[in-house]
Amino acid sequence: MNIHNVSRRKFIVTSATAAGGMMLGFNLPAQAAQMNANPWELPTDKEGQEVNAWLAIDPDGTVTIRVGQSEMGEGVFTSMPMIVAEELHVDWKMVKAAYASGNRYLRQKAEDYQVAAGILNEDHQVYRRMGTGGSGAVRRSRTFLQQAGASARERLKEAAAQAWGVARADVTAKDSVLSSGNRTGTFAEFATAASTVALDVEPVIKTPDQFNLLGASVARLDTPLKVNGSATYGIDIRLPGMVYAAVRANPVPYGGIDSYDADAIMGLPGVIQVVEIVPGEGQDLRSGLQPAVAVIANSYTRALSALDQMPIKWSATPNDGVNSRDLFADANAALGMPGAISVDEGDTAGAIAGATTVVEGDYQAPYQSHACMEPFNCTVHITDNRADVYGSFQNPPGALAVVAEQLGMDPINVFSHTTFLGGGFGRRSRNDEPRQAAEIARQVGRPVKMVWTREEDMMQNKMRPMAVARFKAGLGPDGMPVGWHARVAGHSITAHIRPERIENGLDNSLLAAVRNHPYNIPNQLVDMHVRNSHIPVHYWRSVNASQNVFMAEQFVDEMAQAGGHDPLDFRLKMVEDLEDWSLVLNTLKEKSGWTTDLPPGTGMGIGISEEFGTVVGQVATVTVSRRGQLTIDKIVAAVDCGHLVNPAIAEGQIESAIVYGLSACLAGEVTISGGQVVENNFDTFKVLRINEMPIIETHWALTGGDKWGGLGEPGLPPVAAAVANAIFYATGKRPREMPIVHTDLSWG
Amino acid sequence: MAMIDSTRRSFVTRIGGGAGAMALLTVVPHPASAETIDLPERESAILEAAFGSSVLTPGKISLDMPILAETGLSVPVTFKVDSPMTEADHVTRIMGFAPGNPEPVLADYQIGPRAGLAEVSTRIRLARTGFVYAAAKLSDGTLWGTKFSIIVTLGACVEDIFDLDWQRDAERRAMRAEARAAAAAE
Repeated sequence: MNIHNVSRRKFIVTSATAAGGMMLGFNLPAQAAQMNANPWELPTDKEGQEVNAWLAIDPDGTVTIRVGQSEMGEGVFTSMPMIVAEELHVDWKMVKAAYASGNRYLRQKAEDYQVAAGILNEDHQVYRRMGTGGSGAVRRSRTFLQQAGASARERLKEAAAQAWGVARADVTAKDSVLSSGNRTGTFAEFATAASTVALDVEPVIKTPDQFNLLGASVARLDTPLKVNGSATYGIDIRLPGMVYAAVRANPVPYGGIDSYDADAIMGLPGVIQVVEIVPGEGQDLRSGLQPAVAVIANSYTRALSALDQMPIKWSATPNDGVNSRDLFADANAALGMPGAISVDEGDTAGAIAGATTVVEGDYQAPYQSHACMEPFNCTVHITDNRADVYGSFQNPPGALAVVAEQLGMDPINVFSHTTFLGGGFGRRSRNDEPRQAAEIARQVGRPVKMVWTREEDMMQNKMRPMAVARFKAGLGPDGMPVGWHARVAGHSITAHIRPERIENGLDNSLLAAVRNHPYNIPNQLVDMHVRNSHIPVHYWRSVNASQNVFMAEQFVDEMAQAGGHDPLDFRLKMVEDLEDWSLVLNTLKEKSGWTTDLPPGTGMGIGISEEFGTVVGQVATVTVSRRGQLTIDKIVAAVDCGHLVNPAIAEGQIESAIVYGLSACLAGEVTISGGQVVENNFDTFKVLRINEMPIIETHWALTGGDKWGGLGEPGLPPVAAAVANAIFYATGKRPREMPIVHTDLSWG
Repeated sequence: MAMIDSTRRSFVTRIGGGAGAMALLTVVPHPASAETIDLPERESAILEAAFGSSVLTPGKISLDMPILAETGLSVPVTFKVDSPMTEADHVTRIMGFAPGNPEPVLADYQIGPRAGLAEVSTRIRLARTGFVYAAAKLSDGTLWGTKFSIIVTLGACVEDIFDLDWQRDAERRAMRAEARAAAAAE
């Protein structure tokens, strides 16, 4: 069979050209802020004059601004340069963005100006942080990015002042032009001089009331590349002389290999080699390397076909009998026992015992897959004293570190090249794929591109943990709560990633939104049990809040109903001393047209939570047919993240969090049977389809001040609770289990 | 399995000597001098208790470990002391500290001349980016030390990602406890 080797990306480019202006009839402005399709490369062929590690100025005035975070759709290639540009007073049209170098992050400590400004200390790395996670891009980088722009601007002004014999205070910088009196010059003219200027005092960064660029919905730099198909993702990497690896591990995660018959496939077309991956001493599941076998061939199709035909016998493991039913039974049994105590305020048991009304509720949520649209892949090229690793990394220096360790090389000789990410959601911060690819490349001795099939991607995923929770509350004569007891049992990510943070069986991160809810209740007891299985777990967008808010916020509704209160007013009353929560709730009330008085089969529900410093509330409107067919009609969100860098991108973050959260809320789940993941492709692992997408409205309820909350994750947790609560008002049935598809919603 | 390149030390020496900006990567044992290794307060107290003094002279002992670790879960480290290990001149004790860890003592080895070699390799756990310290006591009673700067990337990624929310929770609870106490007092 003759197969044309046409990549998906090339296909898009080609078809766009063929269809001429019809298919892609947009014209870019002649000059717009830009970036390269290969974002790890310099956007121009010139190095440019670096003023500091964050920015370089070309002779033609182009300013390259480096980006420390990874672009996985959250818009960092636009929002992060905007923060630098705000202070630099550069003409935004002259800005180009490129990734900061992971290798340089490793080599270089903080620059003098960063230390002098008191923004970093001398032990920090020059780019401070290059991981992307914790909804931290803006909130944790803003000050040092502003400082990079401000300090560079003042150096440019000082260079001009010295050349013109005037005081720096008499020089202004605006749109890449320096001027004083009738003299003007460009940033490019003074870039070289500015790079050597020493300032006595570093400038103070702007406060939000002084912003000009920040707060504007500037167009995303990556949109043209993604629309015309030229954006390079990890899976698009091609290197000269590259071969392909198809890899498979025991379907029971971290199980071993009994035997495989390489001879059976070595004669197949294009097959080059069979590689076995054997974890070394001390390489347990935390290292990310597990026993696996890979077929190397001159095309991926041939490698995969040969792998499918190769007889492999997997070892029996102690986990071959593990299934979800037993895991949930075990976790639910734990709910009957006192656990490690996180909060114990007042006399909770006494308050509930003496309460007018007692409310109880149990909930559960399964393992959940990240289901990144781009399957896992990584390309590694090893030469004599250097290794290059290409891929979709959320933590590039970490990718560099694991490759260095696996190859026994100095990290300083390893270079990571981060592409665009076809979805990350936390999964791509685990760095198991660069380690595996490095081990394969080490054995093969030529550049290797390793690609996981969708099935491998989902069966060897590092899941969002499963959890169960039991709530019990006592209400006083006024229907308001006097005691809150919450108990959670679930799989602990911390036990895998940061075990030193677990003390006496207490992992507070399992208690997100269960412990750190804002409701003013006089007696509170929160305790928990860690219940781990062999299924590897990792961070998933919004982490434990993704399931806990579904549970806790439904229980808050249960309390409101038992106490005879409107659920929105009930919450307002419990947070009346908190400005931000009150503002978000009042905004929701106004914008959603809040009511619990809708005809049978329709309902409105609310969910609200605070994560990474941002409060997000959502009201869902749903319709449920008598036979139980659910339609989500509308989601109205109100958000307080303090300030906005780019409102259009921020709105996109809330919308994408709702899409991702709705998939998990409605149908997406991972079940375990025979120790293996059952849902190994999109036929069984359901994600939201476009026809199921509700209308979304996002309203900003910003309290400003010192608040700079994150936005990548906080939009997700409330949606499942809002939908579940709306379903209750529509049907009288409460979905206590994620995904909601397990609950029969028929009524009447 | 892949082990850490034994030439790392000479390499680090090279870059450390080569560029001013990279000086903080320099971890070679310093020649003995009047200078001492600055230890944080908690680690000083531990050393004081173990050795009767917390004054460490730079030199003799070296730390061989990667300058970068993806996670701090299992970081290879070798403590090595320049000593003939004879009856007359040997190492009696080696200790390692990571001030960034909740429990800072990483290693505590008591050895003697019959060990033959004053070198110990192990794997340690590190909570975050920062310095690792090593201290050695010799049979003549002298104390020697060194420190090593290591970057832990996962620390940079997930470090305190939840701390902001926990801090707000603590503030809210304190505020309300105060309000309740005030209401009770009325």
